[in-house]
Amino acid sequence: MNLLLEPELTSPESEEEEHLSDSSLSVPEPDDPKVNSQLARQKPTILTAEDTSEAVDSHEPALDLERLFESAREELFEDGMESDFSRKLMFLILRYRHDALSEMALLLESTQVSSEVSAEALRWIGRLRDPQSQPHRLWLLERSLGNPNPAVRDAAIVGLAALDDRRARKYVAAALATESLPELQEDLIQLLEQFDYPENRYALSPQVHSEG
Amino acid sequence: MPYLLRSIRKGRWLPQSFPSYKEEAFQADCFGDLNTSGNILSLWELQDDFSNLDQVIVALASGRDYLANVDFAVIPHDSVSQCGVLKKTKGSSPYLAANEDWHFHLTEISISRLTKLAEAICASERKRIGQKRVEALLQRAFIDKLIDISVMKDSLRQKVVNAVR
Repeated sequence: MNLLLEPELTSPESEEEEHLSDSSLSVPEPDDPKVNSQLARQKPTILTAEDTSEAVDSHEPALDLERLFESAREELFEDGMESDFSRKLMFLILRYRHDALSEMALLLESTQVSSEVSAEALRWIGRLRDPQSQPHRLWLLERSLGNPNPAVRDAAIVGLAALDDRRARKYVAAALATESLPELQEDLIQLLEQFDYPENRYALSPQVHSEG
Repeated sequence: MPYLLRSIRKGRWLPQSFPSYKEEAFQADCFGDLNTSGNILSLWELQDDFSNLDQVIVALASGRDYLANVDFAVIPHDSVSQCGVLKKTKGSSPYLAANEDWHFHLTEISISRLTKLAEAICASERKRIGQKRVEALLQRAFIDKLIDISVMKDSLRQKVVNAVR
C-alpha cells in the first residue's frame, strides 16, 4: 500500500503493515540517511527533501516544531486539503513521535501560537494512523478539549472523530458536561454517538441522520 | 430558493472572549472562509426541503485531497443577495450534475459586502457532517455513478473505490 493512494496517513506498524509494499513509508529515525529519499517518493502526502529542509534542519524536535508553527501563521487552511504545514507536521511526528507530541502539547498552551495553526495540527494528529504514537496523540486531543480557545476545542473534536478511538469516550463525556458553547456541545454529542453507535454513520444534520 | 450553502470551517465561527472586549465576539479568523478570488465566492443552492443536501455535500467532499468532515453555513437567500450579485454558474466538482444544477457564484463583492456576508453567516445555522457520514455518502455516490472519479484526487478516489470493492 502506497501512501499516495492512502488518504489516511499510515505508519508501518499499523494494521495494514503486512500489506505494505517496499515503497511504503518507513518510520524515519532522526539520523537515518534514508529519510529524505524515502519521503521524496511519497510526495505529495509526505515531504520531499526540499520541502522538509526548513522544518527539520535543526534535528531538534522542539526547535523544529516551534519554527514550523511560527512559519504557518499566515497559511490558510481548509478542511480536506493538505498544506505545507500538514505535510511537515506529519513528517516531524513520524520522525520524533513522543518528543514531537510533547512539544506540541506545550505549543498548544502557548498564547504565542496562532489558534488557526493549533487547530490544523489537532486535525492532522487525529488523521495519522500510527499505533506507536496513538496513546500520546489521544492524550493530546483529549487534553485539548479543555483549551480556552473554542476553535482549538472544535479541532480537538474533529481530531478525535478522525482518530475514532473509543477510549476517548469518558473524556468527551466530561468535556460535554463543562462545554459552554451550544455548537460544540452538539459536536461532542455527535462524537459520543459515533463511539456508541458506529453503525449509524453519525451525521450531525437531523435531515441526514433521519435518512441514514 | 430560500437558502444557499457556503462551505466553512465551523471552528472559525465560534464566539470568543477577547481581553480588550467586555463581551464575547466573533473572530476575524472567520474571514479565512471567505477567501474571494476576483471578488467572487462559490455557493450551493439548497432546495426548499433540503432534499439535495446530501448531493451538495458529495460535491464539496469529492473535490478534496482526502476524506474529512464537511462544515457549512445555511444562509437565507435574501441575506446573500444583499452581499453581491448572485449568478448561476457551473461548478467544478467531480459531481457533474450538481455542478450544473446547484452551483452559484456571488459576484461583485466589495469589502463592505463581504463583512455583511460574514455577519449573515454569524446569524445563520452552521452545521457539520462528520467524516464517517461523508465517507458513506461518497461511497453511495460512487456506486450510483454520480461522481466522475477520474477527476478526483488519487488518495481520495482510492479510499472510496477500495471501500466499495
